[in-house]
Amino acid sequence: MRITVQDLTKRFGKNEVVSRISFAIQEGECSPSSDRRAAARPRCCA
Amino acid sequence: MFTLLGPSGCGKTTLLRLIAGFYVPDEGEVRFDDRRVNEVPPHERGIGMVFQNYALWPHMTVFDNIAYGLKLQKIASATIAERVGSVLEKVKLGSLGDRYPGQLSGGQQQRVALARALVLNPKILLLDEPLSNLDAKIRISVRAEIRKLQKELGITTVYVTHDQEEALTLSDRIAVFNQGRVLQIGPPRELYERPQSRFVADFIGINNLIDGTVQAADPARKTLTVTTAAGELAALWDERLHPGDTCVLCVRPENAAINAPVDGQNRIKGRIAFAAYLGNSLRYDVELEHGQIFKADIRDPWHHEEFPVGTAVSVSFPASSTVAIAGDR
Ligand SMILES: Nc1ncnc2c1ncn2[C@@H]1O[C@H](COP(=O)(O)OP(=O)(O)OP(=O)(O)O)[C@@H](O)[C@H]1O
Ligand SMILES: [Mg+2]
Repeated sequence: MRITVQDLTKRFGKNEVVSRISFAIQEGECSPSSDRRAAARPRCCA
Repeated sequence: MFTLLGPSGCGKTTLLRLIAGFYVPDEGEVRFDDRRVNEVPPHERGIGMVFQNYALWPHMTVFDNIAYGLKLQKIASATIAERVGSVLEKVKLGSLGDRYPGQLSGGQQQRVALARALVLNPKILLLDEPLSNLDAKIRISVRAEIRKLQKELGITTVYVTHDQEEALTLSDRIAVFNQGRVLQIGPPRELYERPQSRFVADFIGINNLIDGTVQAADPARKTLTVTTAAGELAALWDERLHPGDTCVLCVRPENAAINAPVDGQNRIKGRIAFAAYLGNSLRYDVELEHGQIFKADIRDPWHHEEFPVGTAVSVSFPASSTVAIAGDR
């Protein structure tokens, strides 16, 4: 089952405890550790 | 496994409860596949949840604790016995069904809580700091079991922890959280090697943080030159940083060397202020000339003669492990 959270916000009184959170988790998100390593290689500044 | 990582009070449990349906969001939505579930009550969401404090019923046996949800569903007792038996095997508690929670160790109680979540065959598993009450050795073995079980079952899992080491070992991806906001989402290695904010750099592992101003950017050589109180230092190039920008440099203790002979690296002078022997490494606190403490590791203390406090040394580290983050992030 895929979970998608979009702009999720929760306040207790005026205390905003969860602020506009968004992310998606794929079905059974997990992979064998070998491709996990490849997938994990940093991309942003390489 | 997807992990929510952040310090105490940052909103992790609240977010997990929003996903589970125990809280209704004030704004935004939660979707399971293509279905919006904001208005769906927890027991109709197909989730299994393990709570931060286990929440086992002390007056019920292990078997009854696990069977409770199935009984509510009016499932035949023979089927219940079979399913509870099989899930007890899965979490390696086969022979303990007749015990009460008070007669179990913390690790065993944790497994009962996990079994109680799994017996419902959930589509989604939500785990709220399930290992925080266990001692260090047991925590490591139970977390390996959770990881294995989650892979076998292939259930979409959200794992909450404030322990960065636990997050690094267990996760395929981690979302780092602070004060109700997600700061960065990525695989463990990306968060560790390429933090994108001061908070993430500081929260995950140990980093030496040095403030500076970008002097020059050289995309061809993939380096930045940064002016700092410790002198001019070279860092990994980042397209978001330009000359004149303030930034913070991040250097891990394991990437720094003391009195290394090689050139072509960043080099700073200082004095040994403290040495901590950790067995598999030795960590020096080096006081730099401008007063900042810089942590540097010796990775093979067996073959290292410890420097006395006060010894003048040089600390060096390559530009390729010096990460620059914009000053306002
Ligand atoms: N029911 C509630 N009513 C009011 N405030 C709440 C409620 N639940 C949580 N809070 C507040 O919201 C903030 C986030 O709490 P939450 O339990 O989500 O944190 P957490 O990240 O799970 O922390 P920990 O790691 O200590 O479990 C805290 O400041 C807390 O005091
Ligand atoms: Mg919590």
